Amino acid sequence: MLVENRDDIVILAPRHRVDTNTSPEVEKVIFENIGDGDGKMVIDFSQVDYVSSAGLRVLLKTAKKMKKGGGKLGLCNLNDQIKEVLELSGFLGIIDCHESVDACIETFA
Amino acid sequence: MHNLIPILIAAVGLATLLNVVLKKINMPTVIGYIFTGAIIGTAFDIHVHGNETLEHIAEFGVVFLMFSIGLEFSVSHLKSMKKEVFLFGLLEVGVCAVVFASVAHLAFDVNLKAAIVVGLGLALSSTAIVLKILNETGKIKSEVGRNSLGILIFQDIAVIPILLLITIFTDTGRSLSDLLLTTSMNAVIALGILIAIGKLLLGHIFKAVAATNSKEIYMGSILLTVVGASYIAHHFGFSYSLGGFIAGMMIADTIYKYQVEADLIPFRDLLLGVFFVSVGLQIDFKIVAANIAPVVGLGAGIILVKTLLIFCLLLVSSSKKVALKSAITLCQIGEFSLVVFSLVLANQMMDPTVVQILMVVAIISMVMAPFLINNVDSLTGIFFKSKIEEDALDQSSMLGGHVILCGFGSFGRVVSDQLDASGINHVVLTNNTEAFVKAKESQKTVVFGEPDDRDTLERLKIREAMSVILALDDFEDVKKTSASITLIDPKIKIIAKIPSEEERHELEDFNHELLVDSNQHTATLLVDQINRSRLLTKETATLQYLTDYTLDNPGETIHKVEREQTRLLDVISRSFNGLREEKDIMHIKAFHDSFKVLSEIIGGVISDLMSEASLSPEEYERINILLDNQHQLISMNDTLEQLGHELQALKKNEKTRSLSEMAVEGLDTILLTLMDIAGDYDEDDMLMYEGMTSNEKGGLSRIRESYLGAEKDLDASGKSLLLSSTNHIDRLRSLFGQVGNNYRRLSEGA
Repeated sequence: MLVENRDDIVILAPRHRVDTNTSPEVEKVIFENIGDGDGKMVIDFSQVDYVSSAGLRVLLKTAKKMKKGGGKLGLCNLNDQIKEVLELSGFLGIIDCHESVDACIETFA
Repeated sequence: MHNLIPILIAAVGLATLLNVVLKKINMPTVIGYIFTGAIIGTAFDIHVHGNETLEHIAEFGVVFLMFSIGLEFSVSHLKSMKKEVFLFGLLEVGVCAVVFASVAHLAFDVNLKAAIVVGLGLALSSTAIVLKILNETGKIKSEVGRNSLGILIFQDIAVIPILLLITIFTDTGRSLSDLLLTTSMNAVIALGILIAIGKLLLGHIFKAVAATNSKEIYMGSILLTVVGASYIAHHFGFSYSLGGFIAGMMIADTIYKYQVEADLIPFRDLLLGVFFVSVGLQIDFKIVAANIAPVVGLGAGIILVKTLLIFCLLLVSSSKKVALKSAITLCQIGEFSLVVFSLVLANQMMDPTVVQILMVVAIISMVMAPFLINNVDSLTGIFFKSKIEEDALDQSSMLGGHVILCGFGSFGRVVSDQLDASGINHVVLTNNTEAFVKAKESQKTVVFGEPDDRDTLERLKIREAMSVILALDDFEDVKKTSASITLIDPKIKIIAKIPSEEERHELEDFNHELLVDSNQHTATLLVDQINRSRLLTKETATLQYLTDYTLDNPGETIHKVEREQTRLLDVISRSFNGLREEKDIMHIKAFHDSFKVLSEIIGGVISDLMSEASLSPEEYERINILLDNQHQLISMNDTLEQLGHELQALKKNEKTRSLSEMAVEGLDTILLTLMDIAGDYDEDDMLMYEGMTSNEKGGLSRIRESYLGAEKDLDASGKSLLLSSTNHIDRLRSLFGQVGNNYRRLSEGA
């Protein structure tokens, strides 16, 4: 997973699939970069094809930690299938989603 | 002519008697027919020459034989045997003709033209005898069979230029170029007509005929094809047999090949019988007696020289043993040689007595042929020691140890797939055009023909088959096919599907290894499945917390109800996993049934607590929440059961498959979060959960719009399914939300 720091914003870019097999690694990297949850984090899905319920649980934990810490979390570059699963799981009601990394960063300002 | 009826009775009676005796000593029926002809000819003083009706009937025996040979020779098959046909065949005819013509011209002082024609005639072998025996003994696909078949095919084609040559040598009124031009033009026109009919019409005609399902019309169409093609060839100056051969080749590329062959065999064999009888009729015992020394000398000399020449030619690519076997198989003089000699006689090209002697030699060599071919192994053994490996190699190309599967309906297809999965070599036999096409599309080895046709079954080497499976839908077909197989060999094991137990006794006379009653078998499978499902239900519905409870301590019992009720969420989660892992519907149903059993028990305890226990207001409030939860969970299970069916249906459609998979993942995430909340309540989790389950942002409206729009192009039933399933998902999310809220209320009261 690619990790980029742009000013005070952490941009994470997981790859391929976020499922039962890969979500522990994704969770590990996110929580290594999340601190107390008071920062700003963008998760870029441009290289992700598929997210399973295990992957969604990691996003939920992340969202919970960021909400508790007062930080900001945004997802971007979601393909249609991932948009669909986020809508079906109700995640669109709790996590902000954007078209691009820049669009996401703009909302943090 | 004598009264025909007594002659026919005598001929048929004698042929039957002789063939029954000959079959007992493993001799081919050809011998019986030839002897019948010789005896009847002498007894009734009948001669085939000059009797046009008999000549035509006999000739049509060869036409039908050539037609059935043509059936084996699709253009692609001919290409695959080009070495045997065009190299060995050309060499055999060329070398033998040169040698025999030289001997005739130089040693016997026969004029050159007649010597060439006689040389060519002697080079020909008997297609009728050799192929019949090779087919009967199953050796047609061995190396000896391929060599012999290739050379015989070339010889049959060579008959045309040989007959043309006789015309050229004897027709003094026309120039050679004129004759060649006329013949070439005729050949182009005749072939053009036959190929055009074959490629453009024949397939459609046979398709229409097969659709009538009438054997009578089928036979009529075969006869029309063979006789029509022969007539066209004859009309343009070629032999009837060539027309038959081309007609056969035209059908060889269609799916009706095997069926046509099976239906034709009775005709072919009967007419060939007449042909062989006519060969026997030509044996003039007076000439044989008067010229015994030349007949024996010439006969022995020709057979030995021909054997030696073919043996030497085949040594180029075959082993010594195979080359000698092939040479012995082809050493006789053939029926077309008789036609050639008849023309030599008619055109007075040679001394008539010498031609008569040659004809008698040819016939005697034909009589000897079955003896020689049947004993070819022992004869070869005299010269070469037997090598088992070589024989085994020879047999390797033949089908054996296979399964014959009759019928390719829904049951047959399943059987075939399972045989494939187990790596069992099998051949499908079906008389249904649609099933045949399906089998071909599924890359099966399939033959089009009647399962009860003995010839077709023999061609599929039923005696060497491991087993025969009758997967036929019509029980009458099962009976007929069982009877045919028993007639071939009562020891052949049959496995058959029967409609019910009542039919079992009707098959008692046949050798059935296994009779599968489809009703009983299906019922057993269903009950097995239900039993598995019941065991699973029992396992998951076993109580963990409410194994013992007392209404005297309602607080503790309420706590146990809470814990047990949480297990209902676990059961729902397992049914989600069933959907994700694409388990069968009975497996998923087991979880829904478990849920019902468990929730009924929990509901009973709640009811007992409410009606009989003495509850504090807090306890009453708590049990009230649990009761509401119980209702929500039951609705959740019911909704999920309906949604499960819908998601499976959505998964079958390429356009909605992804939605089905994403729905399972999305709903499972909500459910897992709910289970966290139910197991260990956390307000932060609950806040997130509230956001997930609220329909404030319009629920699944975006998904509906996207799938119901023009881009996805769903049909009416697809749209209806999509609306119903997304409504159920919205409903489930709402129920999830209400249950989550109940856990918040429970935690607040704790």
